Amino acid sequence: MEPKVIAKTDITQWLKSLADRFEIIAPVREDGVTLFRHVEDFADIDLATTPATGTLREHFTPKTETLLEYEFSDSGAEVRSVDPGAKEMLIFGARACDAAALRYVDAVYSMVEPRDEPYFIRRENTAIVGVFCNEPAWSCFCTEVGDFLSSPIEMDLYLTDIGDKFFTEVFTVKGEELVSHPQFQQATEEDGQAADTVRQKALSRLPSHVDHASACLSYDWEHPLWKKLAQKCLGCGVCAFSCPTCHCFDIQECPKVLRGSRYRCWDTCQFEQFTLMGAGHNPRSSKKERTRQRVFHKFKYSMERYNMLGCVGCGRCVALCPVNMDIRQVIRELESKKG
Amino acid sequence: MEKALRQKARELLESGSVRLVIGYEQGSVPFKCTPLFAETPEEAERLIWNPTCVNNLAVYLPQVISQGKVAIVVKPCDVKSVVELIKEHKVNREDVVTIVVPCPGVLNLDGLNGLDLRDVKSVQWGGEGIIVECSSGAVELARERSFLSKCLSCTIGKAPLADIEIGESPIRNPLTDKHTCVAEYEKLSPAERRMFWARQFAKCVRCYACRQACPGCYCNECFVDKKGQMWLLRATDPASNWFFHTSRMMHIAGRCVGCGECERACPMGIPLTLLGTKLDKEVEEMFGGRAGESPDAPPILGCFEPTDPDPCPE
Amino acid sequence: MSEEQVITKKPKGDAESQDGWKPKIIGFVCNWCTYAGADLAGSSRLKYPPNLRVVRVPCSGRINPQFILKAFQQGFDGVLVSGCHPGDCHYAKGNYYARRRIMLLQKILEYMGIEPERFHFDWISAAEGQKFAEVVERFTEQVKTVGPFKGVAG
Repeated sequence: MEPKVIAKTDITQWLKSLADRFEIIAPVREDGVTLFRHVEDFADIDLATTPATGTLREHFTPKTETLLEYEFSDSGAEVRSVDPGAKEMLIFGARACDAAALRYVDAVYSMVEPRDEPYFIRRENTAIVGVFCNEPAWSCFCTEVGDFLSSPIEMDLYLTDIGDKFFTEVFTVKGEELVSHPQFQQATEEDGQAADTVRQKALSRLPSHVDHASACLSYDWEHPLWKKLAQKCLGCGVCAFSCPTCHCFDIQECPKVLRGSRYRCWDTCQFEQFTLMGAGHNPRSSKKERTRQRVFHKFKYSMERYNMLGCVGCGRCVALCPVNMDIRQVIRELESKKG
Repeated sequence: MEKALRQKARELLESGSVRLVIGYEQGSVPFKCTPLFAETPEEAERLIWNPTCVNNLAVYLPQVISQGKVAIVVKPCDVKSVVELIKEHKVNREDVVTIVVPCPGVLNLDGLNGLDLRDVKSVQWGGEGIIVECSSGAVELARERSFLSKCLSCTIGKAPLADIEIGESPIRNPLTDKHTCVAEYEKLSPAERRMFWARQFAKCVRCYACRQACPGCYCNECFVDKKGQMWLLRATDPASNWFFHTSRMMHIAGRCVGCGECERACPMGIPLTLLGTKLDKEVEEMFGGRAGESPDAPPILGCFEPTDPDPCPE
Repeated sequence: MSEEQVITKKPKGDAESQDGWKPKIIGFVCNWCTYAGADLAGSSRLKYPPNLRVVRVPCSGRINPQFILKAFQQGFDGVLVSGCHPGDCHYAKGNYYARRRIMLLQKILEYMGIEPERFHFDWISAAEGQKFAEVVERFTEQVKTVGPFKGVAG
């Protein structure tokens, strides 16, 4: 489909007309952080913070998700699966990195049969409206690991802010449905050029592509860097919990004798207990092993297993790490000892 | 100042009196620092001291102290954490050398809002606050915008434990009282307070960054990780999150020095210093003590007086 | 389901109505003084409300503030803490430590928005069976004035 445009002032009306069918999720700023939340007042939407502090993860794999509930009574035991909910979601304001991360998580959650059904039910019932990053953050480096900023994936629409309107690219059938509303007009050649100008300006502020995909296959397990990183790493888990490709979870019970539930919650390899086994053995008992694991997993293991990098360059870990562990610096140093 | 700091650190390492100097070095960007663990005089040359040095490095002491004597670069506020660690016998007094740096205040990153952070070349003290050198020129920030709120209410004169002092501490001129945030919050009714924390703890992802960043949280096995007695679920419902934070608060009661690292580490913007500041206020009013003032003082909740506040004063 | 929901969710067949709310109160009491005082109240056939569930600890100094926090997290409407009078502790000093800890906890509970009427800290000795019954009576009425506890967060 040919690109469209929508006036910024029409966005609210457009979203309102979609609100009957979809639960609208958009970035909202509160207390100095921007999180993807269910919105009803579209004036609250924050498209300035690039990227949002939080990721889309909560909406596909909630930080706590009940899997089943059970109850014992005189008539026996009743076990109920919890319905993940099939309400359609429309995510408005996702970044290219957020959407690209979904492709990676899709690969992980469908690696073996059966696939992660609650996740995929939500994925298939969600429309994603992305926005281009006119002002990438100092920590952004998506262009170093991929080209999805210019050629986005896993999106239905891609909006580029060209002043008083959004230049809108349509990628899917769902996207075509979304723009079949009166607020959208055909884009002119000027609109297209304005979008190009905006794109070029943003790209000029971002790093060039580096072939991490090849380089990471020979990262050094014994590199002296690991000891140095482990010394300053707090083991705090902020990197993992703010990462759009992180996907590990724990399954726990909430038993109260006659009734209870089983739930899953986010987990991270950065916690000491992550690899702790029942008999007490812990293959990653030191911080050095856990820090190394994170980098190897995001790069080398992801390439080997899924033939795609596990890092989309969103830079959240870089911006949020309390001790300035900078993954860009780490991989640069790992790759510099070659040749 | 930095030259003097580096020289002192080099001397300590060259003479072999310490095997490690923990300090700050340039981060991956000019407006951030990163912790440095210098084991050689050459590595000590990388030490810096500028407004980006926000971290409380005392958090690293428990994990490194077992391998020998350590020197640590500390701001006067961070020294209080070292005092608490010594008080609790987590660190021996003889095993640590405190290098106290003169601190007019450290950078509040929000103060750089509006600047293109990619253009920042350096961040230095100047004028009333901070001078940011950008490629387009120098920007001078007002004091309120430059510094963290704990710096704006700082009243620390002489650091309680200073083995080496690099330069003199500036005269303190606090803009606010450190307990103001508590007074503001306490205007809320009980129901409003519960709603406030419900909203805040709904954001909590239980990353435990607050705990990991806190120099007072050094337990080998935290209560949240106990499986034998399961204090709380890993579920992130606001009530479980409430239980985690309130329990942690009671665990650091009388030991919290107000460094604010918990709040700085939190990726969700939860105002955790509201909790520690209240503790600090109450502990002083009720028991006359403050965390981190003297290594010889008894631990505040580990001692008592016959005149302590009583539920039924007879 | 959160822990709170699991505990407070009514089992099938319970037809308790909203108006018939009975407060759930838990009491952490020391074995040598308050528990003995409670026993005396019992053997003296003194009447007091049945809403209190008693948890016996060896000494008020054994009371971990987390017990009280857990009780509120799980939805108890009121929490009582009681031990020996200062100076009379069976273990000499336990209640002095408890006093500092619990007085501070009391401030924190109120700070977090738990109505002060839901918490009571007292000293009740082994001879004070009458006082025990009175304290429980007064505290139960006090909890009733603030109604069912809606939860620590919300």
